[in-house]
Amino acid sequence: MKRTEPFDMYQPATLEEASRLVKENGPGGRFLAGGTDLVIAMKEKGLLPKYIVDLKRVPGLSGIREISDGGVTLGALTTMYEIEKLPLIKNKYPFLAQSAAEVGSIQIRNRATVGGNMANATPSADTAPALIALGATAKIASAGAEREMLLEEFFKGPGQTVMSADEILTEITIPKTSPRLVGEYIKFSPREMMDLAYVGVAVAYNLGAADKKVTGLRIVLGAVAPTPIRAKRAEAALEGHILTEELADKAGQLAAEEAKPISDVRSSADYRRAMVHAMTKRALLNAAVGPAKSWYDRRERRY
Amino acid sequence: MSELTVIGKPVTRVDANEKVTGQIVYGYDLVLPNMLYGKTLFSPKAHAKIKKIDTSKAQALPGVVAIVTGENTPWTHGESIKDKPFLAQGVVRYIGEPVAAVAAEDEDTAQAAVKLIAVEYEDLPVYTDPEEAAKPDAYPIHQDFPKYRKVDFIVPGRGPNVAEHFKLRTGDVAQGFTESDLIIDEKYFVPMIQHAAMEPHSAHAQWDKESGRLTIWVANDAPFRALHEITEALGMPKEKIRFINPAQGGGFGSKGGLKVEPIAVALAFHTNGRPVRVKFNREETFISTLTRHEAVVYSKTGVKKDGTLMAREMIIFWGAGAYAEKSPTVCIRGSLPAPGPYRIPHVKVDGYAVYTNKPVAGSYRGYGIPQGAWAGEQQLDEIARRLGMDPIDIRMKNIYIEGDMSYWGEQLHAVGLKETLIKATQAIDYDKKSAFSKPGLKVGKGFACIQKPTRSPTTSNAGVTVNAQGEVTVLAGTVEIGQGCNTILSQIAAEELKVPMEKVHMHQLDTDVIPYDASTTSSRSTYHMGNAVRGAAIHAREQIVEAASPMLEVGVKELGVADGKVFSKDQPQQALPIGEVIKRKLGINGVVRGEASYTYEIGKDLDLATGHSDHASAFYMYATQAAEVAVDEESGRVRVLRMAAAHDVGKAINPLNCAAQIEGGVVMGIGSALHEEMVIDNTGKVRNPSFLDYHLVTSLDCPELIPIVVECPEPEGPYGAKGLGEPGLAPTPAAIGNAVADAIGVRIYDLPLKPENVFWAIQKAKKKDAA
Amino acid sequence: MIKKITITLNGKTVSRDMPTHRLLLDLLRDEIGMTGTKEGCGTGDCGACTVFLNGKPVNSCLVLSGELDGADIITIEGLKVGPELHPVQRAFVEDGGAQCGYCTPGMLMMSKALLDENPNPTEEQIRYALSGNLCRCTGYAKIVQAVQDAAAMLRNKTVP
Repeated sequence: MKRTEPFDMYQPATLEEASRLVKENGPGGRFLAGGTDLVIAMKEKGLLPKYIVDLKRVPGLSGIREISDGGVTLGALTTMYEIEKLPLIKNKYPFLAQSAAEVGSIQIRNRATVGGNMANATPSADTAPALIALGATAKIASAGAEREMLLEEFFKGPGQTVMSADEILTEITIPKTSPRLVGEYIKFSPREMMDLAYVGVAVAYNLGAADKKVTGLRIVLGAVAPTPIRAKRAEAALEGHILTEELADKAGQLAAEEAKPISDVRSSADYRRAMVHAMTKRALLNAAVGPAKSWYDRRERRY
Repeated sequence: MSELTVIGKPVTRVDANEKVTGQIVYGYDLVLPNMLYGKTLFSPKAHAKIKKIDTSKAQALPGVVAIVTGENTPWTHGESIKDKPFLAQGVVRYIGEPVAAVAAEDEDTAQAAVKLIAVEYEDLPVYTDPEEAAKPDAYPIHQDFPKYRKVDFIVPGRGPNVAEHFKLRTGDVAQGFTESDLIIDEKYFVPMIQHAAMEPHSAHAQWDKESGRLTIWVANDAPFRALHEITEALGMPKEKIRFINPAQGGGFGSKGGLKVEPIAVALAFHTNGRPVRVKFNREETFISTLTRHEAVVYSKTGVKKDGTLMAREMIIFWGAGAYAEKSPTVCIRGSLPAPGPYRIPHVKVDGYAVYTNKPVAGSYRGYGIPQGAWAGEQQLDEIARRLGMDPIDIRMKNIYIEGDMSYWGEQLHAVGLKETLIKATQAIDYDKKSAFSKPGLKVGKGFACIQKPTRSPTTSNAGVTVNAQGEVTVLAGTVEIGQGCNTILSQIAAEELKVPMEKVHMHQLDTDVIPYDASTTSSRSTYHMGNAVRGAAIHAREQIVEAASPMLEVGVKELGVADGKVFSKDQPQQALPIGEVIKRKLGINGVVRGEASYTYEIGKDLDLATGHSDHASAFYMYATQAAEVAVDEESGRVRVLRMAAAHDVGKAINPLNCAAQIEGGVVMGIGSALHEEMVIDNTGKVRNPSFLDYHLVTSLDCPELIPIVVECPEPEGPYGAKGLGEPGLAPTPAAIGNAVADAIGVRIYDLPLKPENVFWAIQKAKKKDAA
Repeated sequence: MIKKITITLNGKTVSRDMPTHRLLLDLLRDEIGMTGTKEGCGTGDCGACTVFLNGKPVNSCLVLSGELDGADIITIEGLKVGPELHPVQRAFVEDGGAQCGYCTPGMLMMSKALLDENPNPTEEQIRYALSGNLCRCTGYAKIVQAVQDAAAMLRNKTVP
């Protein structure tokens, strides 16, 4: 761990200016949102940016709004704490609010942004699996240009996204969901708070009211591959069927096979794989029961 | 003095106000005028010869004032064994060893300069396993070990890296095993862990060439020890060195001895009188200060089928890390009680403190008891299970009671152990089935008993002054590390002088002014310094009463002291405030000074061949902790539901404080039980030197805590008090280990009980059952 | 790069020329000399450096000086308003919530933030709010008790 070293810093007032600054200054720059990843990278991972472009004065990057068809758009600078607390998110997508609540501490969540969480592209990012499970899209802009894509396709590898150096993630949109939607995000780690996810599992599906049939299922795994990944074989095993413990277990098994975890200082790959199995099964069954009523319930069996 | 006025009361901390307002200044906060900023270069190699150090580029950087390396800093220091250089000399012995340091006008320059120092190394064999390092044919990590200055109780071991071999021999274990109906032989492991005091380490030093005085400001838990150690190292007269303590933000043993101080001192010799501050950041604190000993514990126990203990044989390898520091005494004081607080006719313990190429292990709260208890208390539960006995019953059959002869030949007194066992287990309804139930979670209960000695013999001296305004100042070398000693010692002074607490102040710790105290370690302060302060306060009171006698025209025997006044017992309205007495006797600036010294008179030092002594410790602390846990079998995750901790403190000088110490200790113990380990790979590199991956218990991870104070008075202690600082975390891992075994029917031998370890243990047991 | 930043610090206007790479924590402790805010880890894992930035509790060890112009900052030194201790401070004193005291400033700031948002928190809510503030001395028990007592004090307005 070392002290940060000098860099130039800019605080542009428009998106165009932000993008232009990068084009002009060339390589070695970084965008700054909440700084909770960037500053740690400078102190612990040897990052030495030449210059930093602070996005926090650019208008239009904050705010959460409902869109006409019933979906929700989150500005990239929306903080984790806002996602955790805002009734709009808590009521429509409680497991997304839950995933934001899992990030660090309140102090971190008051600074960390969803845009930063995505752009930093850590495989264990906590909000990515839930957003992908909701079918979210990401809007990317640079001076004079804009494009949109599925968030699922935004990540390329650890620390790598599809964005070029002068592009900025501006907002994330969650499309309209069914009133039958249920979901769960389980962040698996030893402590109740403050850990990085050893394994992250988000599930979202429409649960048939009478027949308990599962449709529109997405299972997204975090921290067990170079990017968040969909466990598509696991989804296929359960899609269109009635949710049972057996099938949930089967889906978990398949998800474990699809995962590509590594061994590191936190955990062995084999243990991560075993937890993908256990937590995928648990997330699927917990989701059908409903949201956790106490903090300790959120990772334990509720079925 | 019949009734106690302030002793035994839950008085609030005397320093609470300055802590809650942020006014108090810790070592890490301290700024001195004209100060230079020091930064350190650490070794990237676990074991290597230093071929060359090139500081020329660093020297040329503007703003750099001084650079030191082992070449211009030739001193070594050490308490038991003088083996540790201020800066590496010719060889580095662990990744993180200080190799060079820079003092500069600002921290950024200092950091830039450190980056410019180039060092060439030549690799040497690296030992990360204490058992491997202990072998007779191992490469000596300390080539000059035979020549080092050592204290006279060091016993060499069978290998060149064995810094100390402790032997305990009682009876004949072979005989004991032949008489046993059941014998269990197991191996346990406890990893190296961190103290993780919230305040990282730092030190300030200033050298004045004219006067030859060296001043060191440091939050150090034993300034007189540090003074002695650095005096020996530098060959300077003691009077030329002064230690001043700013406030200390925790320590738990990590802030004793010399760690950052030598670097600051080395730089201070080259800065022309300007003070130097060296701060370690959290990562540097993790690696380059002190850690807790990893331990491999082999335990073999024989019992009769009715549960009577017959023999216990233990072999313990204590991983000392690269330098000896406190390892010899941890080895001795941790190995001696490892068999547990039980009547055992045949006992054999061999404890080895072994050098390894890892961060230096030193004093850590509990001083070896946690490691021994992890093995011994779990094994006793295992024995109970196999005999079909209740674990409480097997303890009751064997535990020490008043007057018992311990297995090292000491007659024990003030043994509150049984009461702690009964109270702790009752508090969690140990014999009843758990009320907690949740699908997917298996619930279990377990407990563990320990006995902890204190380092003996040691001395505490104290002074108590009273001025003409009736204000009392306590001069005591006990360091306030958060344990509450400022409050306790103020209570004692207030009690004996019969003044309100607000009238009592603790003098800042400055070795120029404060009388000698051995250390703030080993749970010794309430007892030793408590006795000394009490004696000094009584001495002051006696002088005041004597001075008052002619003033009140009453004989000394007819005078009493209460409510800040000296009064005639026959005619209580005939009284004078204490300050007034002093004013009349000595003038408005008069000061009365009381002094006292307390040394526990030890009977016999530990016999080097047998480990026996008839007075190994001034007093013993006893405790039982009981845990109720819920284990998520699918993941191996352990949740502690509640934890009862019953501690025999002799006398609770301040019950609020006692509860606080117990609570804090238990939570620290839970951390060591469930989460904490320094992950060190086989190159000697610490892989998790930050709080992201070294997991401390957060507020949300905490269970319900039930602290229970048991009072079995210690006749020699102040008002019957013993100590409490350390035992709080000693039985915790064993209690939780026993509870986990009760929950899932699988015993785990290696700490920590992190989810992955528990998970694999469950899987392994399932395979075994299936096979 | 040096930037002139003007902030409101505990209600007072303060201007400094700061290198953009230094942290808010350094500005407070080293530049201005207010050492009440502590460094425990430097990486946002312990909460000892907690201050209010524009009304929200954050880890000051992770906030770059370069973005601070115009910011409103409250530190432990600004918790008392007037001569009396804030109820959270008083509760910590009375209940023994501080042992070594090093984590205390951060704990107090976070406790106040919690009570500002939720005047009647459950024990779980208190523990949840404080889970980003590590303490090695107390085991959190008396800290949680103090926050509960401070909440009662504030609700009953039993302090001036």
